[in-house]
Amino acid sequence: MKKILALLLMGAMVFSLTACGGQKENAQTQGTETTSDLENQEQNENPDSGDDIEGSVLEVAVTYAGVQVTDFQQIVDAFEQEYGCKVNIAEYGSDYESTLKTRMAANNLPDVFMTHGWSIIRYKDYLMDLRDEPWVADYDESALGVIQDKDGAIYVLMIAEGINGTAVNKQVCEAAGVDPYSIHTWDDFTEACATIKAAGYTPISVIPNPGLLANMAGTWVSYEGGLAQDSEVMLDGSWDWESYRTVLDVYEEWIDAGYFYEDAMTMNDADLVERYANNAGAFCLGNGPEIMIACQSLNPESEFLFLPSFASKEGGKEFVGIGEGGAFGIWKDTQNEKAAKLFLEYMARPEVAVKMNASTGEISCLKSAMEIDDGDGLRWFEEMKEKCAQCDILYENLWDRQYMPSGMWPVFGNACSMLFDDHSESGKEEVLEYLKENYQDLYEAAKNS
Amino acid sequence: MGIASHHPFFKEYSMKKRKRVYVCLTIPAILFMFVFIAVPLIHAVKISFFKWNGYSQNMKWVGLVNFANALKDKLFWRSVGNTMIYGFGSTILQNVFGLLAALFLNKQFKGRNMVRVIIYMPIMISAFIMGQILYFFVQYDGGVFNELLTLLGITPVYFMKSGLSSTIMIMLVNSWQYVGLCMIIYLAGLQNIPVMYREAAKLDGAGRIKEFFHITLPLLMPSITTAVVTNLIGGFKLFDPIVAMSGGGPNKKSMSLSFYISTLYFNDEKAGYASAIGLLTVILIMLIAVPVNVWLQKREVEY
Repeated sequence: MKKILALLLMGAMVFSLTACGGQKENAQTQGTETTSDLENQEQNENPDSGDDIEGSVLEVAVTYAGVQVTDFQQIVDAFEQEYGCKVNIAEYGSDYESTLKTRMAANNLPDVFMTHGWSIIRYKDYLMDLRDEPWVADYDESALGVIQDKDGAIYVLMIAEGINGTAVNKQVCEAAGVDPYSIHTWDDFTEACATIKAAGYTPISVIPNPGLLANMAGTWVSYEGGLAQDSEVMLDGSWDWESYRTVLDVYEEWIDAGYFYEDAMTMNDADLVERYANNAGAFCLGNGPEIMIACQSLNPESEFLFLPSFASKEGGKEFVGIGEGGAFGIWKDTQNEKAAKLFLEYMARPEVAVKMNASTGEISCLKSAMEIDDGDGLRWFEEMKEKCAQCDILYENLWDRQYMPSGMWPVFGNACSMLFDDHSESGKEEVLEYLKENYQDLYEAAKNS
Repeated sequence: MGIASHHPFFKEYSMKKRKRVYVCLTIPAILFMFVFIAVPLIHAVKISFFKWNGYSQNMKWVGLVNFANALKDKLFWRSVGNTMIYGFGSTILQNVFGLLAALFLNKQFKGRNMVRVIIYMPIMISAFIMGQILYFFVQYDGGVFNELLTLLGITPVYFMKSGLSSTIMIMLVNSWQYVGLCMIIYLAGLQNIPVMYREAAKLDGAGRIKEFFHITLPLLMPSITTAVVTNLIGGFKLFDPIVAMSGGGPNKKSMSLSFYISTLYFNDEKAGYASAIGLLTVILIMLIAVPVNVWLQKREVEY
């Protein structure tokens, strides 16, 4: 009897372990979910039973953090109450991208997930084409330019556009006697930096990051009236990067002049936000209202305004990058298609989209939501448009998304660190070579894929 | 169960049966290791021969190119150098200070347990959180250490300015956090040394230093082996405090091999290359840890 019992127990142990192994991928990807397997099983047995999604269980992965998650949870609670559908929010924080990549490799994605600017370039093959959804007609024209594929497919519900330009700390500029609205070219900007530095502040409040070398680059090398217009050769893969040397020269000048934090190379993001919120720095380049919202949550007294990225010379275009903001896609192999589509419809409701955008600082891009959006993001954007009514501003997709092959973003990040570490002539040469080499490799890879 | 069970035949049978049960009981552990260690390792070996971005369903066979590239990669060799500093530096500091703490705390005095707890406490905090906390101590602008220096009228120091200084700061933090682990290992070792050997040494006229080098240290060799090998492997795998304190900077100059692998895989989307470096890392750790382990074990004495 004892022998039989021992064997049974051992068998149970072994099989329980095997079961654990079998569920490895699911267990690894649960994030903060709390769903029981039973609930999932029930749902999988009855997918898409008519319009009724009661009892369905949706997994929704979001890039939101902090108070944004709290606000999103409230939206989700209301959705659950209305439809009787359970939603498990998976928030992976700074591991979001890594986790999604792992899940893509395993071909096991959440039912609904945020695409954080990569709906077409990275996630397209994993997303459902949503061009026939009712909210598509509600898109503002500017939004479609960012998320519509060449064949007309739309893979995400984008409730907000990201805008990219220059975040300005109003109080620092006032204290230094700088009028931010008088800045139109990078020369004007350099002059303003000198004044701010003389007043005892750090003019440029950034840490080395990909956006620093990518987001404003078009004003020097692509856009009309700039120092160079190399867009065509960028797109056909034959760009020699010589015109980009100017960008590195400008950064060299700023680094030498001490316009960045002395410890910029090893600062972390939280530290950066804290210093910017506490009026240590004046301008945050290649950024949008998100950082201003984050700063105001730390220091409600802080005041900001938004400006475009500046022109490389008189008569050149200033630039506001329009990028994919808060966007939700549906995994093409989801078992919960109906529930996922209804969830997106719910998120597209004007009052819901506006509530979420107020939390993130992004700007509504669904026409019905734009009519009632009174969030800070849109307010800053409208204020910029009003004050810069006479400026020649180009509104276009982010430069790297428009002209660079997929995969260049981290390359710009590495190049930026290299430049800050060594901005001598040889250092700049190395950066240029690194960028060119990777651009050519990635262009070839994209062509062959 | 009577006289029969004492018969050699039954003893042998019982022994065989017991062994079989013991072997069976190891099956779950073996399966566990197979699923979570062997399978990923085999998978890593496979993808190290491919060019792959880490998520696409398409992989391109490149043979040994990833390994050849690694050997020419300046960042790889820099990471190897840093990993050596993290591994050997942490091991030396943790063992020296852990042993000193253990010798001190092996004596009876009031508050001894409190001191033990204080030294051991940092281990209970996650390495990442500890790194985050220490970041605010060593940061250049407004860091705790620099605030103190400013109060004393000394110019603030940018502790993380260069790759070497960042690496050393991270190594110090890691050593400080885990010194309690060595202390515990050595305390257990010290308490296992029979008093009679020390008494005999004293009778022979040995002083404290002679007693330490000729009695305590040789008899502590099993503990030293455990502590050194554990610390060495832990140091070689260092990751969390680097993420929290320097993000691998400035300009990737404080990266360990683990950090470099993670950056390559998830940031640079070079999963095949990251796997090749991962395998080279395993080989490197084995090449160092195994001989160290063997060398230390040879010096262990039985008593």
